[in-house]
Amino acid sequence: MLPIREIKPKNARTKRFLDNKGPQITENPRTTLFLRYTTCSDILQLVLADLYALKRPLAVKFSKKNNIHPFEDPSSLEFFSEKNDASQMVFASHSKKRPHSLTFVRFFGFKVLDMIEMSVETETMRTLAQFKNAKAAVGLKPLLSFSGSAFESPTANAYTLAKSIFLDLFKGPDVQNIDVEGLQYMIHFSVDEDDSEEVKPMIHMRCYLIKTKKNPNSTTPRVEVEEMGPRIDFKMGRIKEAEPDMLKEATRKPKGQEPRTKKNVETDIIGDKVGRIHLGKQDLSELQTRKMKGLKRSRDVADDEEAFAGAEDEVVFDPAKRSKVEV
Amino acid sequence: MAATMEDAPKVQAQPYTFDLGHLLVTDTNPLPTLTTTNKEAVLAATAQACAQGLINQLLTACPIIRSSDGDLQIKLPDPTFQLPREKPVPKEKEKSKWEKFAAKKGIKAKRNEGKLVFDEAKGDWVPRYGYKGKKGDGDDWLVEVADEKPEKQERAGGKPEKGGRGAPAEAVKNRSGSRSGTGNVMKRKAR
Repeated sequence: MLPIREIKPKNARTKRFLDNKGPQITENPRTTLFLRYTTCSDILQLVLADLYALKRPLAVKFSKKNNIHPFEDPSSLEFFSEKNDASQMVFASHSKKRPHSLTFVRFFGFKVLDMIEMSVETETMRTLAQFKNAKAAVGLKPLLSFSGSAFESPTANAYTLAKSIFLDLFKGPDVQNIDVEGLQYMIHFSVDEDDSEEVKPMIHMRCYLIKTKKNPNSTTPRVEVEEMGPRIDFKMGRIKEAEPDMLKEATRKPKGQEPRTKKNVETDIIGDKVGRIHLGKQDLSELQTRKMKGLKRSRDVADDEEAFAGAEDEVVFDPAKRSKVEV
Repeated sequence: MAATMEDAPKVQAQPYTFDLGHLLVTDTNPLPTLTTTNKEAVLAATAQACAQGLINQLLTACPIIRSSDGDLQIKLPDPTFQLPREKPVPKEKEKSKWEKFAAKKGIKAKRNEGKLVFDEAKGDWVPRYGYKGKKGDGDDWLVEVADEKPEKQERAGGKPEKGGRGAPAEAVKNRSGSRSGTGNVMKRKAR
């Protein structure tokens, strides 16, 4: 497919639009595009609708059929990405060979960065609507949790990639502050233990509403969870890891963004902020002490001062001088 | 279905790790084996433990502020789990010829000196130039005319006129035209 031709802005509105779409130091939150293959099972369509409901408003869902095979030729997906300024994609396809498969794609500069394919377990799938309870408000930032040792593998594998992609997909916009009332739901991913070699462990995705109750014994509340759906179990399929060059470029941090180190301000073990202040050398001769008759300067000041200076010479102990003598 | 504290796994081999910027908790403890009967209960229990841990961490480790409209807000730290960027880091703008030269010579941008300067003779602040300005010093209102008439009469104390007309302007034009990418291309073609 032809690349989209480069547009030169002719007015300020177009320029603003293009600047917003172009590379930025602090980036906009990712937009996710939901697409389907020419064949897509009912279950997958329900899954797609539910994931879209969780992702709103940072998502676009298309309903037309697309004859695209992401692992064979992703060029059409790249076109969609550029056209919609979407750097994430969820592609649903169903075929005899790969039934009920969802492909999560992440883009870097409108080119495919990495992909992961997972197939949905049909028996255990439950939709958002099947749980008859109140749902979390639209567009809230969810709490995220990953349970299981496979997500924390020291070497990059399918599960660490899945963690990165799921985190990127559901984390929502980066914010400085979050409303306490906004902590309404949690998306929990857990992975089975790797027991047998043939079957790869499954990933379970569960969404829970969070209910906080006052805890009489402590200052923090007691948390209870109530499932709100969707409930999806994923079987691991094919993956496409990021090319090292592209990943290096994608993980580069812009210059001059790191915060200045605050000097002389530390936090100690208890969590208290401790500051260090440097003062100039204190001139003790100017020190105002308690005034007493006995400490008053006598009339023969000159004599007194001479005596004092002489005494000082004797008392002074200079470690630097002494070390010189030793050498 | 509500999970309670009783369902939560009692023994925690490894502590949770948190990334509060993403509201993320990672629990590296292996998941108990799931059977068809206890699967949802076990998952809900692990999720409940994670949620409890994360909320406790949020309420204890982050400063809580009351916003202007009276809502309690938690101030989140910066996220630590690095996710790939969406688009490349913007390229730095190329330096112009003057900026390169200035950097080489160590020329700093001129600071704004201000409009007023202190006139010591008057003992007051006066404008740098212009009406009642320091530069002109319009005190010498009477000027003697020289004997032989020069080409152009000059006021004593005035600024000497800058170089003649014609040639220098042409030189400047040539100089700017020879630099690639600058100057008016159409004019250069016409010449």
